[in-house]
Amino acid sequence: MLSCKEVSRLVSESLDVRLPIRQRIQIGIHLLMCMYCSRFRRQLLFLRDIARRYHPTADHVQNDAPQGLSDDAKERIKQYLRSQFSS
Amino acid sequence: MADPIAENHPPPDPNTWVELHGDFLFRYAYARLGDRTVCEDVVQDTFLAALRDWPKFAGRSAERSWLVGILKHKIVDHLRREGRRVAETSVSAWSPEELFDAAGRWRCRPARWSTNPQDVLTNKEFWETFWHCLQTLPQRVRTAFCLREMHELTRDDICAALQITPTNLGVMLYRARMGLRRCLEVNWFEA
Repeated sequence: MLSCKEVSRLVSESLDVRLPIRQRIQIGIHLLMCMYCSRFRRQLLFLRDIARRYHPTADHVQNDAPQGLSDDAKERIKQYLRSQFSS
Repeated sequence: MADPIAENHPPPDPNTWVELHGDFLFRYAYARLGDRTVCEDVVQDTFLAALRDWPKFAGRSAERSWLVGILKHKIVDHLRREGRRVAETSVSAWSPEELFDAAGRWRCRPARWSTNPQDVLTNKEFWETFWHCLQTLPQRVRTAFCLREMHELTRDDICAALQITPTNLGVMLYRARMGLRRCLEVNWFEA
C-alpha cells in the first residue's frame, strides 16, 4: 500500500510522464480510498491550468516588481544596438 | 536573388523597437529570471539577435510574438549557463519533508478549494498571490516549474537546458508543485 507521500510524488510524476501500468493502478486504488489525495490531484491539475494562463506582463501581477526597463537601460540598449548596426 | 518580402519590409529602427517592445520583453523576462540586470542583458541580446535575423523574418508574422520567441531562447540560454553553478541549498517554506509525517500521511490535509476556478482567473489579487507564491520557491525549482508549465518545454528540453537528469527534474517539479499548492492554500483559499 502506498502512503499519501508516495502517492503525491507519483501524481506529480504522472503530470510529466506516462507511468507504468502497475503504478497507475496503485495510484488509482489509493485515490479511490483517499479523498485528500484525490483533492490534491485535482489541485495540481488546477495549478497546471492557471500556470499556463499566467501572463506575467499583464497588469494584474507584480506590484513590487519593476514595470519595465529603466530609462537608463533603454538608452544603453539603444546606443548599443545603434553601435552594432550603424550604416 | 533578392527576397521580395525583405525588400518590402525595411529593417526597423532600433530606437522604435526598444520603445515599443522593451518594457513588455523586460517584464516577461523578469517574471522568470527575477534579476533586473540580467533581464536588461537578455532583452538587449534579444533585440540584437532580432535585428540580425530581420531579413529572414521581415514581417512574416506578428513582430512582438516573434520577439518573444527569441526572448524565450535567450532566457533558456541564460538558465543553461546559470545551471552550471553550484545548486543552492535553501529550503522552501513548504517542502515535502514538512508536509508529511514520518508515516507518509498528510500533516495538513488538502482542504477543499471551493472557489470556482473561473472566478480566480480574472481576479487581480489572485494573480498577485500566485506570483508571490512563485517567489517563495528556491530559484532553480521555480525555474524548472516555469519552463515546464509556462513555456511548456518537454522534460528532455528542460534537462538539457538546466543540465540535470530527469530524476532531478522530477524532484524539482514535485517540490515546486507541493510548495505552490500549499502556499496558495494558505494565502488564498484558506485566508
